[in-house]
Amino acid sequence: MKAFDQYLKQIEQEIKTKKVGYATDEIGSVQEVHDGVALVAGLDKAGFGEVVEFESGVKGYIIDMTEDSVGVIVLGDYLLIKSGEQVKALNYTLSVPVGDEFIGRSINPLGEVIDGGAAINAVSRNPVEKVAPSVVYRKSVTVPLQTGIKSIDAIFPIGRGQRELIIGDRGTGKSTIALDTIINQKGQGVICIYCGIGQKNSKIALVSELLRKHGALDYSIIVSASASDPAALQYLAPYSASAMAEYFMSKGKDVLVIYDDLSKHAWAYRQVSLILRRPAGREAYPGDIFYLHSRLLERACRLDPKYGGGSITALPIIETLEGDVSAYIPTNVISITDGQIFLETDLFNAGIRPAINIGISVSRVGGNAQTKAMKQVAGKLKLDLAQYREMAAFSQFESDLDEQTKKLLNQGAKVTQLMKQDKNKPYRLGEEIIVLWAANKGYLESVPVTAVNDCEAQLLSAIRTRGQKLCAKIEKEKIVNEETEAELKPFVKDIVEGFVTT
Amino acid sequence: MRLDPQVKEKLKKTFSAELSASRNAVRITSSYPFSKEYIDSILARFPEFSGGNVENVVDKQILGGFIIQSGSQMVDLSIRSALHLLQKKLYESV
Repeated sequence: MKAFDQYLKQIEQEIKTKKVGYATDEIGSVQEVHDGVALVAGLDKAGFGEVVEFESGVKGYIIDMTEDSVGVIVLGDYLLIKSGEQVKALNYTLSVPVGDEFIGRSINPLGEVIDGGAAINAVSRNPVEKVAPSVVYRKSVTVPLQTGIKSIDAIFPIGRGQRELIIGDRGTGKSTIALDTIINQKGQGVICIYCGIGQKNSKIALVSELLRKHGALDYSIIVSASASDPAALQYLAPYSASAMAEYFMSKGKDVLVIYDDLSKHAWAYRQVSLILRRPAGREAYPGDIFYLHSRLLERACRLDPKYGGGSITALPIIETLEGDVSAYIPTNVISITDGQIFLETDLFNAGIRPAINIGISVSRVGGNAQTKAMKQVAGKLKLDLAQYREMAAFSQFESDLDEQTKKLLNQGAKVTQLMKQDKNKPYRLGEEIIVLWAANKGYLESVPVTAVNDCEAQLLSAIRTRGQKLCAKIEKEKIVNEETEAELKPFVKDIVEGFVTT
Repeated sequence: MRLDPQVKEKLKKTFSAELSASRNAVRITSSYPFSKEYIDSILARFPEFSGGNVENVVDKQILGGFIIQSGSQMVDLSIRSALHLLQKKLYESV
């Protein structure tokens, strides 16, 4: 026991000589716990967005402040929290770990790995909520982001730094367009982030597998808050993905972020807001539902090279019910974004896939980013399709129509067929241009409407074998000049005529 | 509710006095009762907590040291929290 006494003495001595520093903590106590949200009394001096820690070790995030209590969304298991439990403010706002190590991984909105692999020790962190760069730091969109989908690249081009909404009913191929775009970014120097919000875990597994199969995981990150995660995490997911994207943008890289989908994000936020007893507005959404999405999408931008360059392109997805685009969330997001790609069930069922409704889809800024070569071929294409839409109603009186109208209808029908494209088979820019050039120059006239796709397939395989050089030339020069046309003519003619005779 | 203005005024005064007293109340939690002088010497070190009614609560659970608290402000210098911190640090490094 002597040793013990000595030991105690030593401790006493040490305490006496050592100066103990102290920190004043801001505390409160839990009053109520609801689904994923806790109401806490006290925390008088805590700030909005500050992270708090419950006694049980679970962390939370302040998103509501009233006169004498604060609303905290719980980032973890809220079933562990007991009423009356002490809550401590941690004096920092919520941030997520970011870094190159995350490429190829699946993570949750807090940066924790969910793909079963090793944990990631990231050095840097980025704030989840960040004010978007102001006008001074921005540059207008001028560089194209090729989706690899003919119809989109030709008619609704997307530029780096643009926000283009993908909207449509369930099962119309919204995610497919987004994923094809990711697949097509191979070798383009674009980092892709797929953010799943309220998706089925099985779908996330499929997405991960699809990207891996196409070698797209080498430049992609999957951020997912699945349907079984608390609403709080679903609410955080897109902001967290955005924080991750900002890391790569600050390194001067181009980033593509897919938010799949923002309707479910709005639902999660509605749930949190109703639990916090905020007044419900239209469709029971809270008053700040517009700001919820506008502050998120405003973070997509293209930085001026003076401030490091880099860009974030956002492709938010919205699911409509029965094609109703005039519902609350769709109208909000349509007005925030720089255009929308509208997908329709009827077109999808008619076999026109991607089922893009060309009439009401639009891209407001992408035109400036389109390559010259694509502009050359897309102009006539747009005209053909517009005239076809106008005339389509008359098509049933075919026998009474004049030659000119017949020709228009014929060309329109063929171009519409040509806009079809299988999923997960993105085209290179050169391939897109050659195919569309052939259609513009009337080479399809001799091909029956039903055979357009077969003919295109042959043309494509020829481009991928004999036409490699030509394809590369167009991609390099980014223009279809007379010299190129002279080479293209015999090439295309050969295949189309060969096709007709077989 | 209709109230006699005089009564209302009196009520208001009592209420605000009660409120400010509870707001300024300082609670010192320790593992054994502290003497008056000891408490005063502690408070002298923490100027932000002086000026209110002081209450000394005994809680063996904190093992040693003391916790001083007023409103939503708290300084935790208990052995329990120090041990918790040590535990957390140990697990973190694993």
